[in-house]
Amino acid sequence: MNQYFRLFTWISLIFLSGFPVHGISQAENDTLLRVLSSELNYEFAHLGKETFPPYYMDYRVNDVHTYYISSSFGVITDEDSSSYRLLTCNVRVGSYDYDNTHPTEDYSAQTRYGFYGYNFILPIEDKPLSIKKQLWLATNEEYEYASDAYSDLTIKRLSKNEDEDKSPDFSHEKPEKYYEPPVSNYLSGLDKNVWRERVKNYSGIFLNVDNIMSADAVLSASYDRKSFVSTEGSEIAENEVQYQLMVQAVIRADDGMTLPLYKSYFSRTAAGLPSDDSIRQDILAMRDLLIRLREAPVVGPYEGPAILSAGSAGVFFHEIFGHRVEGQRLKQKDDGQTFKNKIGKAVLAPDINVTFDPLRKSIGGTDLKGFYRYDDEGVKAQKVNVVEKGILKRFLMSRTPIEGFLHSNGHGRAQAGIKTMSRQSNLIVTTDKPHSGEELRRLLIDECKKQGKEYGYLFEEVVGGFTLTGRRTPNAFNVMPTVVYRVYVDGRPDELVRGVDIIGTPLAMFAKISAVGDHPAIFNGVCGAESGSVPVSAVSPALFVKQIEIQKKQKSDYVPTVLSIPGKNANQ
Amino acid sequence: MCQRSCPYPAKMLINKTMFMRNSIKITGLAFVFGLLFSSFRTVAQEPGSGAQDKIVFSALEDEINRDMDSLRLPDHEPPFYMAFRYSDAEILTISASLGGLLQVHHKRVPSYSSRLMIGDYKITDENFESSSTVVPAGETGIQIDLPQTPDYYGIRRAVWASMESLFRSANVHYKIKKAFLTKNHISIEDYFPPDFSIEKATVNIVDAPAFDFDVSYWKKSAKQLSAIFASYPEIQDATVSVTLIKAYIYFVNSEGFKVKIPFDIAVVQGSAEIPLKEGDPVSENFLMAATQASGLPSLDEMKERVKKFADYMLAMKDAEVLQEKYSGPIVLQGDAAGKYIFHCLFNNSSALIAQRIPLEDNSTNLYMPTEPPYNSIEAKIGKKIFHPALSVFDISKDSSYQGTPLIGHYEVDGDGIVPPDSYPLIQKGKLINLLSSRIPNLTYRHASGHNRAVVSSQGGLQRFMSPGILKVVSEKQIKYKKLLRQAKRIAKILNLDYYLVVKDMYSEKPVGVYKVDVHTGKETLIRGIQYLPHPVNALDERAVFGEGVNVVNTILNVPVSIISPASLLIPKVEIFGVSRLEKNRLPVVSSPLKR
Repeated sequence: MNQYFRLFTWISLIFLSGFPVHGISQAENDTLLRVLSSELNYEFAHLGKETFPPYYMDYRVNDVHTYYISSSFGVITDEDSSSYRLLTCNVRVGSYDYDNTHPTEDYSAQTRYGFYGYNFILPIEDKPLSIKKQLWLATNEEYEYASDAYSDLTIKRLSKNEDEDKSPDFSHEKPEKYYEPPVSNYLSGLDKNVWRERVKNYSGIFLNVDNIMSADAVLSASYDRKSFVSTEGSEIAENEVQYQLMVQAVIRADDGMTLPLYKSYFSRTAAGLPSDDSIRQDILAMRDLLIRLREAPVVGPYEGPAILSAGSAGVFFHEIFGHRVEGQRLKQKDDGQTFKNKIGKAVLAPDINVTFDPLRKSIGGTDLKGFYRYDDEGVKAQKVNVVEKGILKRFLMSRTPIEGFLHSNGHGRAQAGIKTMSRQSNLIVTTDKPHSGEELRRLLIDECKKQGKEYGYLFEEVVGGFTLTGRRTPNAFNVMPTVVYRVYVDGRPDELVRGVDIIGTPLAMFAKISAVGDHPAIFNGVCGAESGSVPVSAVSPALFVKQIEIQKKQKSDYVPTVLSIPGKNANQ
Repeated sequence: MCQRSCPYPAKMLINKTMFMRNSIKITGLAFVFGLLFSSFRTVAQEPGSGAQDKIVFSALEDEINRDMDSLRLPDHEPPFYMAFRYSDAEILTISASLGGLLQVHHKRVPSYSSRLMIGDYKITDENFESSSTVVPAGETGIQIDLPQTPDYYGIRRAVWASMESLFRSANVHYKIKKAFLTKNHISIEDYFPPDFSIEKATVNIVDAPAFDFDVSYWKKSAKQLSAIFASYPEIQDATVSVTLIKAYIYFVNSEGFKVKIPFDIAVVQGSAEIPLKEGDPVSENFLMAATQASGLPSLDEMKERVKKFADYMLAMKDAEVLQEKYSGPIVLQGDAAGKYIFHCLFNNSSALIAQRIPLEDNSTNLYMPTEPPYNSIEAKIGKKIFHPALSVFDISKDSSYQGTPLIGHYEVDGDGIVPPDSYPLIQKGKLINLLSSRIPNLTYRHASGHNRAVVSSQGGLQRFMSPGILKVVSEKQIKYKKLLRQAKRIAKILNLDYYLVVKDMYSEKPVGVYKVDVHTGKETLIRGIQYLPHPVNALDERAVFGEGVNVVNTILNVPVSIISPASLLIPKVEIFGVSRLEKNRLPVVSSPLKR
């Protein structure tokens, strides 16, 4: 893997250093960028004459193009392509030290751009007048909101307690210039006819399975061209093309429990997706596992040793660790601030390192979804070593500083049309003391014996999870496994079981991670939080945890159908 | 569009939100433009070809037959009725602002609705509202999307999943309803009226002409129409949208109904706003609609209308604000007359639609009614409650009126019921009939064929009780000038300095409202009136109908056409003007159009 890192860095340097010089001249001919820049400057100059003038403004435009094919049980249910441009306008009134975004107890004021979103649609064509009019409307609305908020804050400031965190509200950063020419045809490598058939066939594989509830396959391709201009002088145009194939099937057990399984493939090119044969083999295996899962026994609460497979460990880390090192969160008055005072202290075993590297495009030939060159605040993406040898070193920072971390490290991210927060990118867990799979298994069995357990657990696949980081609720997490095995100490074969979630509190859990595997797996997904859904990756080897807690999963109670699904065995 | 020439830009203004079944007002629109995405995909084969009909009907019939025969469970009643409505629509939506395309979306969208009843025609699981959760229905948790284009098994799977779920919930509901009736000592014999009407099953396959989706033409049109507003810097925000829908709705039920009906519509509409320093912004809309894209006006004609609309916006900006309560005569001219009559008859609590109030399990002193409530519209059937010269018919099967195409035309309703050639609602002031569905009430045991199915701009299937073509005639009509003189006379009797003339309506909002000075006859445009009351008794013996005929095609949840007297005088209407003009904060920076 180290060799791979070096190779990648070399390629990246050429790639990254090649574009800007060539690109800047092209940027002069980019109509959208020019219109954004000229309107921004015009608005900034004229608003500057107001009682509460803005000290900073930016426009971010996501020009998004998508294409997808979806199927259910072997028939195409939707095929569509779309294009839209979403504008996010950012106006800051006051100063870098204290502005309209200053944290308050009024949660509603802070979440104007939260999950509910707020955005302006821009024309999909480069029509300057039409674009300017939308920019003008958005700026006016945003300025009104910002100046009102700042005015309120200045009054409230007189009568409130001193802030716990005295860091400024907005960090000073170097303006960036970067230009990539637009992608002419992001679907050029995609044979729609071939993929239509493949997508149909993948979901059709499940048609003859008894008690199947749903079987869907979706191929999606997207091209997001982000244009960013700021009054500090940043001007960035960056492209991101993504392809993803997702297959999902759900089966019902006799007790009414629904059991889902998923397969997902990600690449930046159509050609980079696995071969039809390989995907079919995976889906056939998934179908067989689904049938076995249906017959698996339901298990109850447990506390004891467990292994999180490489596939599930990444999600586990993302949920229980990653969200707690998102720096901006630590400035929120109602956040649990798990790690705020842990800088320089051990938070994980001394052989574990946790890095967030948005500049990492792929690992071992698999593309990483959390890759980007500039974040959504126009700051150059940086590799951030958050944990080194078990010691917490730094946080993921947007341009919202916290005490001790006054600059962004390129992790201010957001969904198109929503304002930014510090968010995760490519989470990569590594270890200085890797253990083979056999060694981890031996450690598990030994620990079970030590604790007097008949078995431990192996969490092979997880579908996702959630974590609560606030103060008003227990600072806990829940990770939802889909494939779980009991590993018996007496040598019996591993037993597939169902019906449990992993729960716990973060600090207690980190202390129990005792060994790390030697082979990483990659989870490419989408993370949802205050600033919307952003693409992320989580890369981790398997983990051996001395103590894990599981609870019974909330159980659905679906009844069987009276009749069989139409078309079952139709082709046999 | 209009039978007569359009002297006024607001001729184009058309209501988009009105009423639905039982006159419950809704905010959801049949033609909502909420699409975020734009698309350029070519839709390969248009809906409704013969080969596709065969697939759709076979799938619907085969699965309904299987489910009717085989959906059985211990302690469950078998289904007595099943119906599946499936729509296959090709939809193009485009929007533009100041000459730039905001969105383009062109795709094939299937949609469905299903119904399963337990019991029999006399007592089903329906017409009963229960708050009981004692016996929750088991759910299969299965919902299967329709195939994007007709596929035999794909459609069957959607039908099956839906019916499996309805079978269980209908059974639970039926049991609760029966137990409730038993508890209240209501026997099956006493239960009245029946829950579902018996209708003669029909097979109706209605085809429509091919529909031209000329995407590039409509993109160009939307851009050019929206670019007109660039010459009107006072107008802060203006958008022009195009919606073309070519759809077929298939309906099959277990009684043997087998129906295919078209739903085609072409709409160009727009909205614009001028913010003001004081009071509400001037916010207006326009709309042009036809059943075919080719039926819309030419691009040059549309441009003229949009320019007139923009001019009207500017005039409204400087118009006098009505800042008092007005209680006096109102003259409704042209399209306003037809739309106002429609609102009076179908958009209030006394709408001419047969109602069935469902039983509720929390009712006390339960009894089966033998006659409708005395104050209901149903109780007024046979009585002269309208102007003695007024007659109103629904003639939905007519496709044109004296050469003007009628967009409210349809052959078969969404339940497969064929409306009569002419359905009298009011005859010489006497209320004769209400529109009725297959849910009987004390007066109506059969459906009148007005439960219309439409496809929204998002592709969803919706149903509304509505006439298609409302023909309003008065045996007593007077010349327009005389009608105005009457308005003036009434105003003077009421000690008013002016009376009002309304030239169009958009929803319940009057558009193009002028006050006419009773002394000088001077017309002055006014603004500030958001709502024009339209009680059913506005059309009583005091109403005055003007000579001539006006035809207006519009969309009031569903496409409707109104043929009516060319003007109407309502002697006394109470209108509330603006009580207080609030100060507004206008944009600090000048609009790009003004720089």
